[in-house]
Amino acid sequence: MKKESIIEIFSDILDLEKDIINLESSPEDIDEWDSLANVNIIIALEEELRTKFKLEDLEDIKTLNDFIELANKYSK
Amino acid sequence: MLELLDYPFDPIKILRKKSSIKRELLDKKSLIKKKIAILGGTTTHEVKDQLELFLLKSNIKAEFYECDYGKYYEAAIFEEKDLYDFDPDIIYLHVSVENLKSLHDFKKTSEIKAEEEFESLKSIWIKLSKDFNCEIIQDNFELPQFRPLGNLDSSSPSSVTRTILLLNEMISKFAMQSAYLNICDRNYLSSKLGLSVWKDYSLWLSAKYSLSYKAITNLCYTLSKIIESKLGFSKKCLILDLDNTLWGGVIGDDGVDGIILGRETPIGEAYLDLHLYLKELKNRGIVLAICSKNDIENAKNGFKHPDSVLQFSDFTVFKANWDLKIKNIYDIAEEINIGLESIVFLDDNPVERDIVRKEFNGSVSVPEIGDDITLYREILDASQLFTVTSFSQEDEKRNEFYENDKKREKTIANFEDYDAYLKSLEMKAEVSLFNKSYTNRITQLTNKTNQFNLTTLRVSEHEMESAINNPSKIALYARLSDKFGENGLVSVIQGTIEGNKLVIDLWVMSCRVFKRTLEHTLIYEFLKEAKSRNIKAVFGKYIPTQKNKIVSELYEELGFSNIGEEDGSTIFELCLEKYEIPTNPNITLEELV
Repeated sequence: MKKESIIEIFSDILDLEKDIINLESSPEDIDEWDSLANVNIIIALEEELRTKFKLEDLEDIKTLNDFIELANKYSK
Repeated sequence: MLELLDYPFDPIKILRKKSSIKRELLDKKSLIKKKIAILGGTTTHEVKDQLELFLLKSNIKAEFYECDYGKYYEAAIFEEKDLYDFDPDIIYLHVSVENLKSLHDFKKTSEIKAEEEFESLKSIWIKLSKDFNCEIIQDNFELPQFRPLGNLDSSSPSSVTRTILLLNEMISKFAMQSAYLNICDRNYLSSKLGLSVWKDYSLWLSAKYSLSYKAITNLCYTLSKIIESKLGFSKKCLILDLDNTLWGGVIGDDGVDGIILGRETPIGEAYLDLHLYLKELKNRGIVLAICSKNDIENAKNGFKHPDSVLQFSDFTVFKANWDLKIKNIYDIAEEINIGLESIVFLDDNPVERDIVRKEFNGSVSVPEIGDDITLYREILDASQLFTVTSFSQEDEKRNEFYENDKKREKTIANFEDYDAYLKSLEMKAEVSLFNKSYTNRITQLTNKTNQFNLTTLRVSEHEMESAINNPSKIALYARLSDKFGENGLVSVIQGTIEGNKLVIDLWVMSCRVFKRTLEHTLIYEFLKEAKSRNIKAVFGKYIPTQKNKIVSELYEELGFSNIGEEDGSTIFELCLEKYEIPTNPNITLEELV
């Protein structure tokens, strides 16, 4: 899955311009990224990848980069 | 992007685009504000977000209160301060199977468990309705997704399945007798979607949502329809195309013998099933009309097909001509005197659908039925456009009323002047103080009426009931009949007494009886009642909306004087002491026994 489509999901759900989000972005530095928004991101990503993440794979996911790696793992 | 909010849904797209959809919707003018409290047993965040969107699409701007996570019982019973400060117009109880504490107790029978859960819910409804006097919406419950007992769970003494079915039945029975409790039929929605789609176990584990996202979208849509119906926004009229909508083929080319309709072929049977569905809509009071590009004789002929369930006489208006469909839709709305926002348009042709959508900009609903007859009924049904929350006898009779209207219109043509026509109608009115047997209809009329409506006050059945025997209120209804038949309960007026003044806070009349002078009869009776209670001055208010221009001069016509503006409304006064109350020569008052 392309990095751009993942950023697009973030930008949709957090309602932010794409250029505000970078690889190191995390809930700590984006106010809109609360726990419920995080759930929405996961759901949207699962739909995009037509998969269901295992809960243990979600445990250490924090930054945008973590999400990209997660997506890559499931795209294989 | 607003089409995302029409059935069939793409819930994930709604989830992603929520913020931008909301921005687009907030641009709308004239939104009605309502305060909605969501009391949840599980996470309600997404429910609130999506309900907000669906309501905005129907011009309702909701302000929300959500109780602390899981504290629906405590918020109600122990009078949570924020909830009481919020003072909701509508309360939605989002309670889920996960909240039913006794459900898995195998030492108790299903009967006892259902009773316990029911009593707990009932105590909440009674408390909330007493304190807030408002509408309550309660979810019923979906069947269990997992059954340790397997198939036997449907027939064992302490079964979970049976507990839920019994509990749902108790809630239904209560709702049928209650003036304020409405069920959101979660059990139906879950079976329609399938339990394994309805629930999302990971989402439960990670965020304590009782439902999947797909389920939440569907639930919120139904909730929005219930709320719209409570505010009088449900649809009343269905306008249908003919060729390839009500039968297969083109009647003008294929003739009555050539169109596809009837049990002989699979496609013919699908059209027939649609007929049966539409006939049921008609029987519950939805007005059917035809709008088709056809010669009128050809069009009528289609209904002479031996298998046609729908008959020519089932349609209140029948437009078969070569005019633009949008013109015909305007004409139909005018002929049966209903607003465009009460209309649904069904057509297999995507071009026609598109033109109608664009012309009416959302007021006329146009379900996206596609061009596959096997899906028309499915999509129309799932769109839930004709949702009602209670059923009054007036609903069933509505078609009859409109039929009588048409007879009256024909008669008009034969009279020299309008007064002579009014006399010939031999109208009789029954005017009386509110009583309990009519509160349902009175509420419905008040909430549905947009044109002859001076103040656009929207009320709950509960509030209307509280006007009965209330010494500070004068509240009258009027029923009207004439030589063509009964029009039913068609007008309501209510005033509040302040010292020796009376302020009219509500006055509505059904468009069915416009121009019949019933407003004179009703106000005269109202003023008589006021005089008998020593009222010296009566005040009327006109609050303008997009639809009630027809009554902007009503008070002045009745002899009130304009005394100025206040917060956007115009105030009128009548000095009752010096006023001789006339009688209306056109309508005889019926003595009540």
